[in-house]
Amino acid sequence: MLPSVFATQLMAEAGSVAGRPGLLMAVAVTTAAASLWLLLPKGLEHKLTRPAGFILGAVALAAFALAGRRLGSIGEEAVFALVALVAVVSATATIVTRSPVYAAIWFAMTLAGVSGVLLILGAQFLGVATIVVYAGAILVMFLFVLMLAQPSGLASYDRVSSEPMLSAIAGAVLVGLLTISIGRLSAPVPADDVEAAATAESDAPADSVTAVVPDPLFENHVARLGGELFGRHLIAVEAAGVLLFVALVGAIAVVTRGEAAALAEGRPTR
Amino acid sequence: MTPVTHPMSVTSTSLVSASAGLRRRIWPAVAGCLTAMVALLLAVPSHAADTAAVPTAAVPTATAVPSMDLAPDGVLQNGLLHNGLLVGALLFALGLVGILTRRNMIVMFLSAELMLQGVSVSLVSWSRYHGDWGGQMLVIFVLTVAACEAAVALVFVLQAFSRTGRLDANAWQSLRESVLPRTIDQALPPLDGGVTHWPTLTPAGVEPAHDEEALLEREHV
Repeated sequence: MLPSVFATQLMAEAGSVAGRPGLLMAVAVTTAAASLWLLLPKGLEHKLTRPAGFILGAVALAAFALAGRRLGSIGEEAVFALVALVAVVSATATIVTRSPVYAAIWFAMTLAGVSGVLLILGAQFLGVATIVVYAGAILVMFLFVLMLAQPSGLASYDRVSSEPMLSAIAGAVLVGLLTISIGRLSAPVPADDVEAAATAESDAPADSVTAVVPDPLFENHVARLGGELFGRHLIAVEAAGVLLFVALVGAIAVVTRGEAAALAEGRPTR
Repeated sequence: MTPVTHPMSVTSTSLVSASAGLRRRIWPAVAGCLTAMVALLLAVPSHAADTAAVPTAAVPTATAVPSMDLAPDGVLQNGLLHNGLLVGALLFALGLVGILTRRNMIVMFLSAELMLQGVSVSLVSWSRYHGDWGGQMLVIFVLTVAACEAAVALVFVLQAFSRTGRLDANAWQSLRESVLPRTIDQALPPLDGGVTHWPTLTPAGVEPAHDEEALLEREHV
């Protein structure tokens, strides 16, 4: 499997990669899979494994960045690339780091990156809510449980993973298939189509496709979001409230029943 | 179907050993998936050109151009949609890999949250592209369900931990299908760092004798 990966990579570097998005994406996906496989905990690592994983991961990230579409201005591209890089690199670190506490901290970093992406996409409320709800509440709950349950030191099951190569390949295949559908969805318009459309409209110049159209959801964003949420989706809000309540009751019921069972079996409870 | 039981001869890619028969059956499927995916990827530009060319060939007026490609928002919206979907796909796949391969239950749930984040990014990208609120509404409910899921799942994790004393998902492998091989952990080499030396302070002076009675005395009632 690996020789084919390296063959694809070498072939890609030899040829003009950026001109062919499919080849570029194939390189990105295969290098990402190899990098993930090298970085995942396997219990027994050569000392060159992690540097090789970092290098392959950098290659994959560069290929993914090249496969991204151009945005309006160079500044916007830079900001988007920065937050997307933070999100993806931290997500990788979340799943490859050995210590679960560090995994939780890296997940907080991922949330920061995702929040930046959401802000760029115009979802101001969700960007803030991601930080507040996820990093502020859910992640703290994770850390609390880790504090209760984590044995001292690095556990043996944190130093190995089950079938890292198969999992990395599964992830690569998933990204590849999703990318195919994304690419077919938002395929770049051929030049003659653009000109045909432009001449049909006849008031827009041919390069008007780069014109920045403001986000229709920008004005009074949170007010309109609240109106939509509590107007059109009111029933769903009520259902979500019931769901939260049931989850609360269920969590407490599981804990108390578990402690009763532990007492009945003579096991120690906390 | 007998599991590998040589504790010291570590030759596989991972120290977790599935049986050789399972590996032999899985590998052709994996190789087929990977090659098919790469072939599909290499075929993407031609497909895109085909789909873009067909409507204009059929009806050569500008109204027949697919609205998805020539949205009035132009390259910016389309680019934002493409990049957002790409980031979402990457986050989702990373979460998938994490939940498939990690064995710590808490890291598995973090990976599930990672997949939810990827879905959220994709939904918000669509919301921006179409200029309506549907995607953002869905993300709000994703947040709600994620909070419920985390609460209930962490309770289950705590219960499992109190029964086995481990956060290991493989501690529950007696619940697996009867045809699947048992996973046997091999002896791990010691960590590179060896013994951790925490910093200490040299004691200064002489520790005074403690008055036990005074320590137990309560000044306020």
